[in-house]
Amino acid sequence: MTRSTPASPGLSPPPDAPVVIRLRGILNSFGPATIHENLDLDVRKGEILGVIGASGTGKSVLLRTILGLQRQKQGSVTIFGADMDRIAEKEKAAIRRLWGVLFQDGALFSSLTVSENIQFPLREFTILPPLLRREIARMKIAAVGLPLLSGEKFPAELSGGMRKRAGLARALVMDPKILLLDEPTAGLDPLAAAGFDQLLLTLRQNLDLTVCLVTHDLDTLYAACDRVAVLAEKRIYAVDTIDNLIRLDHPWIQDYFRGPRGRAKARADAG
Amino acid sequence: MIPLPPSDPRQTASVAPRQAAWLESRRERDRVLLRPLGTWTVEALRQAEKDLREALSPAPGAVSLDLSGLSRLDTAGALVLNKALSLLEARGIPFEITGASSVQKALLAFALPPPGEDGPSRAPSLPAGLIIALGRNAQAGFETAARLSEFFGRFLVRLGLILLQPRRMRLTSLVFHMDQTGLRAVPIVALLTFLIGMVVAYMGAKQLQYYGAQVFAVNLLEVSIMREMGVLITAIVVAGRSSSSFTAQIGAMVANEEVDALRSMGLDPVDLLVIPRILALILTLPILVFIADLAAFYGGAVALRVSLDISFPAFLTQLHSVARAQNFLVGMVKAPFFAVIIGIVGCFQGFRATGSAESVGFLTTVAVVQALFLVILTDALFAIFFTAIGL
Repeated sequence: MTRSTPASPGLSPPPDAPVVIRLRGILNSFGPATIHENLDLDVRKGEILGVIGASGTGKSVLLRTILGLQRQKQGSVTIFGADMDRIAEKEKAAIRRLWGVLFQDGALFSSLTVSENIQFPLREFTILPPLLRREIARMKIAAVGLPLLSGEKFPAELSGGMRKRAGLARALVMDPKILLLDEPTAGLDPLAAAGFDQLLLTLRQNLDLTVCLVTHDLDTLYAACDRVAVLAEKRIYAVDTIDNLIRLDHPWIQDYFRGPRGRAKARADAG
Repeated sequence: MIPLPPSDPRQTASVAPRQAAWLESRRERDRVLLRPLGTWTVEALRQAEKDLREALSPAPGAVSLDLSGLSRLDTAGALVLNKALSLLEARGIPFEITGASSVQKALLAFALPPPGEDGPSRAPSLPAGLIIALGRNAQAGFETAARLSEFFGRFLVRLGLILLQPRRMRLTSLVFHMDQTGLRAVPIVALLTFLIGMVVAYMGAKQLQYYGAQVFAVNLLEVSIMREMGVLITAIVVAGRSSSSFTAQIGAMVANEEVDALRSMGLDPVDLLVIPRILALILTLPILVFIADLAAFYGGAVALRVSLDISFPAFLTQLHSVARAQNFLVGMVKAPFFAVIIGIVGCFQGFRATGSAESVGFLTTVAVVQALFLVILTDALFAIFFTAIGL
């Protein structure tokens, strides 16, 4: 399959690219259960960073911490150089407009049609004429690979994969600087998922986008991600390219990349 | 400190865009030279889009588009440019693009306007729209009535099967719902009927005082509470509490595909979800009505004691002398019917839920309104029936 085309190396940001998302010493716990402890993570400008980890290691919690939906018990979240816990609400709102978020099931507003959902940020944050708003929505619908007719449908009338795409279209409508994706390819068929990976690369190339995505999809990791962060032992155990990660002597990482699926993937890539 | 990206977030905080997009256009005889300047991004496009349209009318002979002056372009900006270019293409006007960086070229190739027009959706005119809405509502009403009857029939069939094989009854679930819908409703039912009893007794005594017949307020209380008020107030409270919670619980399960999971395991959701709930209501509602009657009498006694100085023993003596088992039974016999109505409507609306959480919220409201409507309608029918048979 064409899906194994690795991200063109020329596009990956240099190692000294500025850091757009910086987490330091994050502690998250629910009651007696500690999810993250002393967790550090840097997301560099222009990269596509994949976050992997076993079920229950708090991948979604990590994303929610970055978004400010889950207040960490300790540590700091710094986005574009601004400490999200220290700046005023107004500045926080401005920074929140620089990112687009795709939640696991799309999180579309159920009382609005898909097109209205995509136009929602435009309505709130711009003064564009309605016709242009609708056209932008149509362009985004086409860009994420949805049939144009689905714009008039309500989220409940769409399949899970279509809802996901619609959610991505809404996340992209303001041309954000950072894209945060929670399991973007889960529930998509392999062709659609491959299209999604390519879409991500195209977007990154064209929109100088930084992407942080949580995924289980080995194909996405190989095809789209510049670096992969492994969430293990309550912290980011390692962040590196897949080639370097495979050399690490951690049982879960070994199982993950050397398991039956990982091996098949590596073989396909080598061949 | 990390350098901020070109669009400083602190500057985009206000709605009015600081970053500006504008257009330099020059006509050289038949040729139009266009030079977009500034940041053609989604926040800043309003004016630029208009300028671009105006620069191209009347239609020129040729167009040259110079992108070298653009400091930023995003997909929305590229879409606006592409729209203008495709218009030129459609009219056969030659154009050239100069000074485009590779990123800009990629953006222009990416942000293609989708085919087809997106005109405003056309709604029917007002009178026609009203007639259409009336027809649709009437049709929906009939359909709901038909489906509700069908659901009631299915409930009766499954109930019959379970009564034949009582071991298939889910006892844990039944007891749980008796607790939820019965025991937990006692305080609110008792309090409300206590207050209603006070009001009825007080108002009755006030009117009868003119004839010196205050003590007959007890008779009034006896008839109104036992025949109507006790059971009706209880049914209204329970309809508000339980039919809404039945709809919400079952609706959430439907939305989450839990009901489909049950069906796929070969289990009947009516057996598991509906019968315990409705049986619990049938068993507990009469008890609640009994408690309600007592609380209302107590409330009436307190009101008469305070306002008319009728002592509790005098109240009881009067109540004994007028109370008729017939009135009590007329009230009681309605309780199971109301229980079935409340339960059936609540469960039925729950099963109508679709995938969205919004539908569950909407149906919860519908369930309460329908349950109240049907309870009061049935109560009126009972009144006619009892009058006709002379009770």
